[in-house]
Amino acid sequence: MNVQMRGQEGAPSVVRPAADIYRTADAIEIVVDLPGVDREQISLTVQENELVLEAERRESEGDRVGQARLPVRFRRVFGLSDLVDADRIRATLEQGVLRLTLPKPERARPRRIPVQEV
Amino acid sequence: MAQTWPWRGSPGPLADLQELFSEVLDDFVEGLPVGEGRFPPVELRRTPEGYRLIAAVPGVDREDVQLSVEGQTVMLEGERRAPEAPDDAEPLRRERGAGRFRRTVRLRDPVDTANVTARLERGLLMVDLPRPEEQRPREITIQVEEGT
Repeated sequence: MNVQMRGQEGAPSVVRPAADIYRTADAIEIVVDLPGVDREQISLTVQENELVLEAERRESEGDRVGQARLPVRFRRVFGLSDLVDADRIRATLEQGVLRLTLPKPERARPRRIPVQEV
Repeated sequence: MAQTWPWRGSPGPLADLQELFSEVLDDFVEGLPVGEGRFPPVELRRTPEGYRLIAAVPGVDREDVQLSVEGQTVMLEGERRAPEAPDDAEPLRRERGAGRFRRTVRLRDPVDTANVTARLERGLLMVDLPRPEEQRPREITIQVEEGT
């Protein structure tokens, strides 16, 4: 991905989208705001210990008026620990919100260990 | 009589100065803070028909957003709900925010309030605000007489 100058006219700057992160017994859930983005315009890649999210939306028609500008390009990198199973990450997109489910590997899930009477 | 800026033509001595500033002249947020700063973020565009106001409201249901237009003032009100999470979910990071929001955008030019349309698409609220009929540019045919 090309590095872009922030605020450069004509080339929209890359914005770090807001995210909520939750931990459940079985997984890490990441919820990311990507308003205006189509499913096909989202790229998710796992490399080393990082999950890289890149997305872009099509700008609306018409000439922009004033200073206010909605983000067009998004990028965010999430660090992955050994406590997630990178091969089984699931992603869904709804109403401009991306939800990532990063399952914990079996060995990292809480287990109840029965105590045996001897 | 209230002075309104025309869409085209010479709008007067203050127009150039005003052009330097955002046309989104006035806004405020009420209630719980949602995200960082003002919510929802907006963008204003000019289309051949008038204005298009775009508000980023990811995760907001259609039933949870109300839009009203009065004169040159557009008001967005609504609520963004916290994402669904299991009971045992432990929040590690919260940046998106949830709660009620209200934002007012004042437009510089009048709009045809009866013909405003809005749709929610991929978390963007698109509000099309056509300019009043009499202010739309008209094509005037110029008759050319054949030289004699």
